[in-house]
Amino acid sequence: MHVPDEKQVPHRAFSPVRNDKVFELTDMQTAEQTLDEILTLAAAHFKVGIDSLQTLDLLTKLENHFRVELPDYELQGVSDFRTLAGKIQARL
Amino acid sequence: MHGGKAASTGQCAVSERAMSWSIRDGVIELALHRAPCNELGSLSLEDLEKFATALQIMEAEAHALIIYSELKTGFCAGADLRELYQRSQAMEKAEAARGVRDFLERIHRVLNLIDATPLTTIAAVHGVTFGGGFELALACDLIVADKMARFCFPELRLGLIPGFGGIPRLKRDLGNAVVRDLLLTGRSFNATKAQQVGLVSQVVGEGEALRAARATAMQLGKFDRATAAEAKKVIKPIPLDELRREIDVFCELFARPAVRDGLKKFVESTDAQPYLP
Repeated sequence: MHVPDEKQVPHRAFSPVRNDKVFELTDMQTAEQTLDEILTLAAAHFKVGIDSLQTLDLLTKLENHFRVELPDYELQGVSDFRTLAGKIQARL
Repeated sequence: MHGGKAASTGQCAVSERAMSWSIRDGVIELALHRAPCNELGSLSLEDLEKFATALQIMEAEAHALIIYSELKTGFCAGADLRELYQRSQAMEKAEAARGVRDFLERIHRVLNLIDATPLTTIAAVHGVTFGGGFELALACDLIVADKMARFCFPELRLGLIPGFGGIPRLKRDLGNAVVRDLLLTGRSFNATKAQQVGLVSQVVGEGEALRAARATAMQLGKFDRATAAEAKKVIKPIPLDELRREIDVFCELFARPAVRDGLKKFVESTDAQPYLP
């Protein structure tokens, strides 16, 4: 899976590959607002460090959006989108 | 603010420091509102005890009880660890141990009362539902969760086990493998997972848990109260022996230095993420 550099990624392009399938563009479009919220929260997490309640919020949104289960401890030490995408990918 | 009033329509409202309650159309609502996240310390316990006394009177006029939080942060983050640490530090070891046991026995009395009430009880939860907050929800018959709710027993991180009745109630409701997962990993489950394992009755949209709980309570009002109460007694035994054993184990563990160290670390932490395992 190619994971673009986080500074260059427009939100729509952030899409982990589900096995050999990619999210339908229409799915991404309808989910765009939610994904934008998630990525904004994730960006805050990486850049300024958000508190634990916000981290739990991020975790829930990621799990709900990508329909995966991410144990809390998987988020510890995650400091960039690439690592985060890898964590999600490993659960698809 | 303290006080209560009874209206001619049968509505009654009482507001205490950490929570308030009301009864309307046969539904009692207990609203938690102690910032930052309804941590259960001595103040909350006092209010819960007042509520428990009022509940025994209100029960005659009601068929359902809904417990929810008015705070955006979540349902309840659990025991007030800061208060626990500060009080235990200010006491001799033996006195602190007696204080902890006393607190546990008092909160068990309240939760056992909620667990055993003839009313059908619904916990309408959102956000953080951790530790003692999770235990409060488990004392209810049904849990309605919004999609942002998370459930967790983080006590192992402090060298403790859940002490408010969580283990016996979790065992009552779920398969042992799931109980082991929650207790031994200290990880949190989202609402979807919680529903999949049979913990949560309904998962609803963000902010919709109370509305869904009220709709469910309205439905419950259609049934004969005495029959529902008898059915509940059959379906839902109260595991009193295990609950007493949990208090004993908690108190034994609390005496260990590792627990004091864990509490100190939590209280003094500047970590932005103390709630993560």
